Amino acid sequence: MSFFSKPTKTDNTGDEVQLNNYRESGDIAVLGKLFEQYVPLIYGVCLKYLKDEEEAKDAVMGIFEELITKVKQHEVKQFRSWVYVLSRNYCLMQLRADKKIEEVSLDEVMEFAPFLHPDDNNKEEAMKALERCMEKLTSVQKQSIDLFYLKEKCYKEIAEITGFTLNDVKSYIQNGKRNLKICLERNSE
Amino acid sequence: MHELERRALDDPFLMDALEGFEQTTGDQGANLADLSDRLNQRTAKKERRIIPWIPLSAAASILIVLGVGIWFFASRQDSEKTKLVARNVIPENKKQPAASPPAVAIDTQKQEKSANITETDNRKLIADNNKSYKKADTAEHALKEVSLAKAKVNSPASADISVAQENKSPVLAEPSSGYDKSTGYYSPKKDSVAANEMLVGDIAKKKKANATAFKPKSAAPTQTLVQSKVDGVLVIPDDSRTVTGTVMGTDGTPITGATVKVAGRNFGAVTDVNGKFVLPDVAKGQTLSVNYIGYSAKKVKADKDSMSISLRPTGSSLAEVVVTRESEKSDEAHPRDGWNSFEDYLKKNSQSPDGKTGKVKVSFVVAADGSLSQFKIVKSLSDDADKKAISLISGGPAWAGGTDGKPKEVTVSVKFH
Repeated sequence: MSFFSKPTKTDNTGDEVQLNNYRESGDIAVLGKLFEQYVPLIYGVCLKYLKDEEEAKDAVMGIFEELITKVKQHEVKQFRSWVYVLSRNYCLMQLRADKKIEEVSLDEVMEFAPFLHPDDNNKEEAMKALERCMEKLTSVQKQSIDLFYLKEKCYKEIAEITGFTLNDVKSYIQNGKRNLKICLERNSE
Repeated sequence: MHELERRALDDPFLMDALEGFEQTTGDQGANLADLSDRLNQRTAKKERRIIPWIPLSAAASILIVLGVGIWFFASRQDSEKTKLVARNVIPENKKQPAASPPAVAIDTQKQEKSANITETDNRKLIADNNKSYKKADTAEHALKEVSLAKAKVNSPASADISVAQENKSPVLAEPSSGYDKSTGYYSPKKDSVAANEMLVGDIAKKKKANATAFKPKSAAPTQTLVQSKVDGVLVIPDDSRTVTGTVMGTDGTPITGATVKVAGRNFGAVTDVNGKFVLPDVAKGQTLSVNYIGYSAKKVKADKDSMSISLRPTGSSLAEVVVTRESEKSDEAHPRDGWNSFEDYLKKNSQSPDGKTGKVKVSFVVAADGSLSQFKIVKSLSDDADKKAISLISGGPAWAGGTDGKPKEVTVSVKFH
């Protein structure tokens, strides 16, 4: 992934402005500009579900076509998440039409818990608590979390270092995160 | 990469996209560039010059269609007029069908038989006219010649003819509209038929005076009047005429839309809203086949000019029809085999025992099981007659009790003669 940079930081407020601009003018070039920013992400999602590069590209264009009408019909609060859902649904519809049964491995499903950042005032205390909780983790979890968060390695590297499989790495990080969160919450009560 | 992964933990969108890319091999930069191109093409502003095209081409096509339509209509009108006039004058001599153009036929016919037009012939001619409308374009030219030639001959009459023609031409248009080209069937238009007959009569009368001075346009042998090349339409021999009729169901209500076909030929009519149909050029003794969905087809011989045909609904097996008296309510007691047969029985056996004639009214009770009791004389004639009445009833056909299971009182009148 080093050969290109995904436009990850998309300004949400800017999105809304551009959307309204499109709605008023009806000029699809405006919509195109907005869409362009998300194309890599959408393409990636389509790749994930459709598994084929050409199909994914066609799907991206198909999603754009849908956007043209749907943006006018629906009120969109958060364009980013809305277009994500739209893309995913589009891909799933495609799969249904092709009658392919998608197997979603449960390992791949990551938890997305909104993690509320702790109060920064007690940073010292928080750090200490964190360290204590880390010790409570299982060794594999501890190791994975340490490598990922503290050493800032990527999954691939962690897998190489530890010898765990990629999915295992993800799993340990996920579970470790959850345990830490529980532990920290308990301690702060 | 780590950065992305980290952010992906909180962002499902990014997470999915990353997973998608993980599945690929090779550089996706080319694909993304391709997508970018496609997007730009999609959103590019279209060339302005297309826009003026659309209304212009639309207007042009409308004008063309109108023009064609007007020309067509106009040409049809003319040909109908001239053709009808020509046809009406021509008597029928349809013994030898041949494939020569109608114009020639008209010319040669004219001189021979202008004096022999009769009522039925007129009708036939009209029918022929109706059929040959389709051939407007080809016959038009020839017919125009015919009408011109005729005009030369009938100088005094021609003015009248043209007047008559004009007066009637709107009416004449009707038969053509009655002719549904798509199905090949006629729908009856009695008014126009009548009008045509009148017109034909007029012209025929005028023609009678000027038969002789006309030179045939060609030396072709006697032709039949219409050898139209319209598919499915044939030349009719002399002994054919128009058959009209009404088609209705067993209940007497007219059937709309029933087809009346000349059996064996692709030629027929459809009944109108009153169930009436008109079938021209039907030879004597031809079989007509009448059909309608939901009814059994019927074949009748075209032996009358005006026929009345009734169709039976399918699925009704009229095995035994039990007719019950109108006044009878469903829960009343009644003779098991019906009142009619009971009354027949009474009539057969009602010889007066003592010579006295008249009516005896007897009332009695019919139990739920049909047994009779409590005979009472409501109106007496004579002792003997009364007694005979009672014995006739009690010894007569069996009775059925009321449907509600209760005993019912019945009054019967026995007429002695």
